[in-house]
Amino acid sequence: MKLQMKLLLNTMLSLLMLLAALIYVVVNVSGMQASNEQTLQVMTDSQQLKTELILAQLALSNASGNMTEGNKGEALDRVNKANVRLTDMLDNVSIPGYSGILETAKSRLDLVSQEAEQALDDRNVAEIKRQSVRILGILNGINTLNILSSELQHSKSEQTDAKIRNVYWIALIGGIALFLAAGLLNYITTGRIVRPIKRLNRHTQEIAAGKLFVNIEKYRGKDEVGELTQAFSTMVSNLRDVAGTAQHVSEQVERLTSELDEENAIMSDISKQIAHSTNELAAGSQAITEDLQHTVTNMEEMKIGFQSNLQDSLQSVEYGEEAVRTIKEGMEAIDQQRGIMDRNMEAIHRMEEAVRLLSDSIGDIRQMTGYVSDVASQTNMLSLNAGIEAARAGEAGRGFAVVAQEVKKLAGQSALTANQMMTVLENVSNGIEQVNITMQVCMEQTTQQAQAVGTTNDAFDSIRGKVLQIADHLHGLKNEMHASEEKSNQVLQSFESISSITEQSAAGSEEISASTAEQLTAFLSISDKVKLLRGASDRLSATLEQFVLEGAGDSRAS
Amino acid sequence: MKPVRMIWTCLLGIALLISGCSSQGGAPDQEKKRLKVGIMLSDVGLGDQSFSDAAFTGLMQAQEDLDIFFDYRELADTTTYEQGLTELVEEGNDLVIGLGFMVKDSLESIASQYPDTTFLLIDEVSEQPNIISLTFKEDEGSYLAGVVAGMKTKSNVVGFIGGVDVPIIRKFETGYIAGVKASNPNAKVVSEFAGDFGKADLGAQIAGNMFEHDQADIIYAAAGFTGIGALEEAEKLGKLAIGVDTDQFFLAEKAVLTSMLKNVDVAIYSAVKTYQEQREFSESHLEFGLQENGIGLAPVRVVPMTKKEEQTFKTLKQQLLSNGIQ
Repeated sequence: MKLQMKLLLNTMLSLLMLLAALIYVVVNVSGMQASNEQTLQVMTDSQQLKTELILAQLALSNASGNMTEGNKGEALDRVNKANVRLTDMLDNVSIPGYSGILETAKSRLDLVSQEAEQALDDRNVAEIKRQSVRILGILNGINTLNILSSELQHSKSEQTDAKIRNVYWIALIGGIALFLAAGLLNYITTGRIVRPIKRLNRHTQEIAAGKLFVNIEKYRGKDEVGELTQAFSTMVSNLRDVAGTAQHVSEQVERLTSELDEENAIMSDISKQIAHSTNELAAGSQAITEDLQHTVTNMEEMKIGFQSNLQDSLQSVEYGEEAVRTIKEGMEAIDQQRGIMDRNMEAIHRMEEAVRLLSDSIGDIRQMTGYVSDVASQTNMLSLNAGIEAARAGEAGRGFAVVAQEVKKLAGQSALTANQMMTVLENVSNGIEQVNITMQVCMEQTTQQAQAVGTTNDAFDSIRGKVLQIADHLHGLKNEMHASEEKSNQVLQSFESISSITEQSAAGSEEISASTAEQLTAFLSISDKVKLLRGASDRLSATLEQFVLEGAGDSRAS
Repeated sequence: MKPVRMIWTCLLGIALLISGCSSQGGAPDQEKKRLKVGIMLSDVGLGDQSFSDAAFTGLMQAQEDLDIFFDYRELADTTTYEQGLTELVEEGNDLVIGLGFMVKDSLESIASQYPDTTFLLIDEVSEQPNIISLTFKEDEGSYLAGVVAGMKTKSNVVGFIGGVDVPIIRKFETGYIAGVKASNPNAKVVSEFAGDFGKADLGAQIAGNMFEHDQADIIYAAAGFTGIGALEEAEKLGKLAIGVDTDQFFLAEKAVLTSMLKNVDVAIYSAVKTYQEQREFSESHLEFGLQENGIGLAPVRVVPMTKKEEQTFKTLKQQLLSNGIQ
């Protein structure tokens, strides 16, 4: 479909919707009017018929009361008029319920008008009255019709009101809905036309910026935009092919030059290293030669040192053996001393025993002295009693009194002696205590001495062990020194042969160094040329980088 | 092509919305149900200056006050009562009234055919379940008529003409005699039954006989159209008469002293009103008497009542209301 056609269709669709809404409103409103008119007609007609009937009834009633010719004519005229109107109405009304009522009324009115005419002719008052009342019966039917129609009219007008409200609301809601629908339709249609153009515009800008990877969305429309999109797509695809090929070639050249450059750099480094290494090799060979000569000299000096060392070692072995002998003697002395100390200890123990015995004896003596003291006091008491008895005996007891006196003296001396003995005993006891303490101290010291001797003995033991080891080592050393002497002679010989080989190798190294320098120069010249090539390839790449061919990492292609 | 489909969906939705709204307003509100009453008039029908007209007046009043519809049939339309009643039932009337005892048999036969319709029988009693009977206490009205007759008689002889010798007409007679005796114990009542309600000549003949032969000066005729002949005869002979059912003064303005009124209009109006309010009758037999204003007496004309007579009438009427016929 062509664009013009699309736009036209879009507008037409909106207009059609509007037209539909308008038709809906018009049809509804006109339908209301049509339905109301008939009911209204029935209502008016029945009202008029009612009036006519009432007038006829009044005229008949009038005629029955006052039978003038004028009243008679009026009555007849009214009845006929009512009849004509009823007939008209019967012709006009098509509503089934209504026409039934009207037909009954019609047949009754026919009868009334016929009989009224007769009665008027006969001037039959009672009959005229009767016919006048009968019109009331007809009136009732018409009245019913009138009520029915007015009620119908009322309900219809209510319905109409409701319908109008309905139509109003529908028109309002429909209008809003149509407005929105038309808006949406327009939005979508124009969107469908404009969107691909916008997209093409964006793509063009992207291509101008060099992004050739743009993925042009397929546009299936068969209008001008579709064709444009197709052509654009082809153009971009061709452009992408050309740029792609150029970029590919440029990338290859760049990769190759870069590889060449790297390899050249590696070679150049290697030759530099070789040059350096050969130089170092030459210098090293020189140094080795010098060192070897030094070594030979040192070895010879060492040989002389070895011999004096050997003699010193032999001397040391003898000294060690002597030291072992002296240590043995020291240890024997210590053993003797330990025996003496043991005996000493034994003597102290015996002495301690003796002192304890002495102490016990002194306790016994103290007890005995107590007894003496008791005896003295009893004796004194005896002497007093004897004195008293002697005095009672009087003269006869005078001699006995003297004896008692003497006994008393004896008692006094005994008591004194006992006291002196007590004092002496205390002194002796204190002395023993002192001895005891001194002995205790002596014992402790002896014990300490014994321990010290033990420690000394142990020390001597370990010294002896060490000295024996040293002596053994010295023996081993003496033997090894003999062996070393022979080996150093062999080494000396090998060193001399190495020295001559090294001198030869130093000469070769110098030759290698010279050729490496030449190689390095050649590498440098290659590198310069590769740099030139690389510059050219870089410029090509920079130009091609403006074109981006693949959308890696760029999502705008969607 | 998706957006296009979306637009069509939108349009379809709008169309449905519009059609839904319009159909919503379509159904009219149910027309309120008016009570429909049909009446089968009796005898000559509308314009009889009696029952039919009274019933019609009551219904017209009801139509005006109570918003009902009513329709009527008379023999002139339908030839038979059955036909008229059937038409009224088929027309869809909620309540079908048979006016007068003459309609009774036909009404019972139709009522048994339409057990779902409610029928109202005026002035007669039926036992059928869907027929409600409406009667008047004619004896009460006749009593009042008798009271007036007793007071106004000069010859002390009053007459009674019955249409047919049936219990209901006997009720008239009984009440009338009691009334006469109540106001004038000396008065004598002569009675005769014509055997027909439609023969005015017969009525005139019987009345003439009573006036001439029996010295009666007031006759009470409960004999329909036959009675009208009696009224006219009284006027012709310069005697007095008492009308029945409606105020019959206008039939013989020089003779009709008063009329015993059956207020059929009041009774029918009241019955229709009850039915419209309750849609049923609580009793199968409605009785209208003086108390309910279903019965009354037309104004006393021709020979107006004295104050004293007025007083006596009031006293006796009061006694009737409180104690009934003694």
